[in-house]
Amino acid sequence: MRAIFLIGVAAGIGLGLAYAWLIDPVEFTTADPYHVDARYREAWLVMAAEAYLVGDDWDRTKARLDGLGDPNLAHTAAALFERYSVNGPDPQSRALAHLVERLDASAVTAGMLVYLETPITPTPSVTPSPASIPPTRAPTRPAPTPTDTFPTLTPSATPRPEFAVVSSDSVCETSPPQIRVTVQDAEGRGLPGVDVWITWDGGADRFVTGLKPEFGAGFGDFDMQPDVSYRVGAGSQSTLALTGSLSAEPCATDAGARGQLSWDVVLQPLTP
Amino acid sequence: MIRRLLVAFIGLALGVGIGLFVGWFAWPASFTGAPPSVLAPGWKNEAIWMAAQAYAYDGDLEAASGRLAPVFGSVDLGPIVRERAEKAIDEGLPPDEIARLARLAAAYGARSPRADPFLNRAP
Repeated sequence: MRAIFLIGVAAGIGLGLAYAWLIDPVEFTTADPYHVDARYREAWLVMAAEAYLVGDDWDRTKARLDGLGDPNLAHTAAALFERYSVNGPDPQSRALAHLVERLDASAVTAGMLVYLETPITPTPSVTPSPASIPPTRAPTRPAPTPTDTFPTLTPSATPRPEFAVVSSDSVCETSPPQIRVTVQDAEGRGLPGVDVWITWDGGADRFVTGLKPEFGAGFGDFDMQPDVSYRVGAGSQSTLALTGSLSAEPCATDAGARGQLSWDVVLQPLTP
Repeated sequence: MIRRLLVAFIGLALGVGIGLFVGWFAWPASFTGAPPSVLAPGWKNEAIWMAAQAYAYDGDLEAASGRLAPVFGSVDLGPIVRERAEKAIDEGLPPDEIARLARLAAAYGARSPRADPFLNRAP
């Protein structure tokens, strides 16, 4: 009789576990970054690295990274750096290089030195910490291992935007598509003489605001080509895009006519 | 015979109960590969902060969308960031932090009279 009871219990446990683990498992609605898919974990890591260079708050960055639950985070970041840097210098590679150095200086590779020798001037600020993130102790920063094998590389300056995008709106029009940029100050007054850069894969163009005063002192425009994605930059940093990809996609106007998207972008200078 | 069946049934029921308790509460199935939309609210909030800080660094609105859209779904991200900026104002958080949120919200076309004064602060 006892054996029958125990067999029943064992079979029941098996059935219960099968149901709870396989048929109707617990649904996570409050997951940590550790639980999400690998692609987003990488995005999280890059995002945290970039945010660290801006916010300069290591405790908060560490808490963000702890959410990934990666015991070899420095090596994960280093591997990610290698993937990003294969296409040449970019902001993500720079951020990852600095993160690797902060996590584990021994994981720094020769390819990272070009970024690490670049002076970084993060914005000093007190970053608020959400209650959900526990404080962590900042690790001791080990000194880089000296070596003679690293090549001498020329550092480049960290790009900082001189302008901010106030708005970026698409308009469906039947006329040839354009990117129309207005540069204005905080009071909305147009600013003439500002260099505006339009970049795309394999090319770039520049115009100066104010050459069409009938549209405003801070106005300038650019004729778009179909099937090309453009980005807008301004000021002396011609390669630093301020907007996302803008393209002249087909659309329908309010009247139902076939048209293409034009873009109205408003920029405003950032005061130091 | 009936008594044996009864004992077996009681044992089975007890076992199922134990199995469900263990499988749902004591040792629930753990998995990775979940969509970012199931992140806990605290982490979602943190993603907004990070996206705004990262945007201040790289100025890449497309990248910011790629970081926030998986978390919040195919919705207009601007109001979400703007709402966080306004909440940050209510909470009296540092102006630099508010400015980054306001700037990202504005890049999405989501502006507000409360957040706009922060737009012309340096990144």
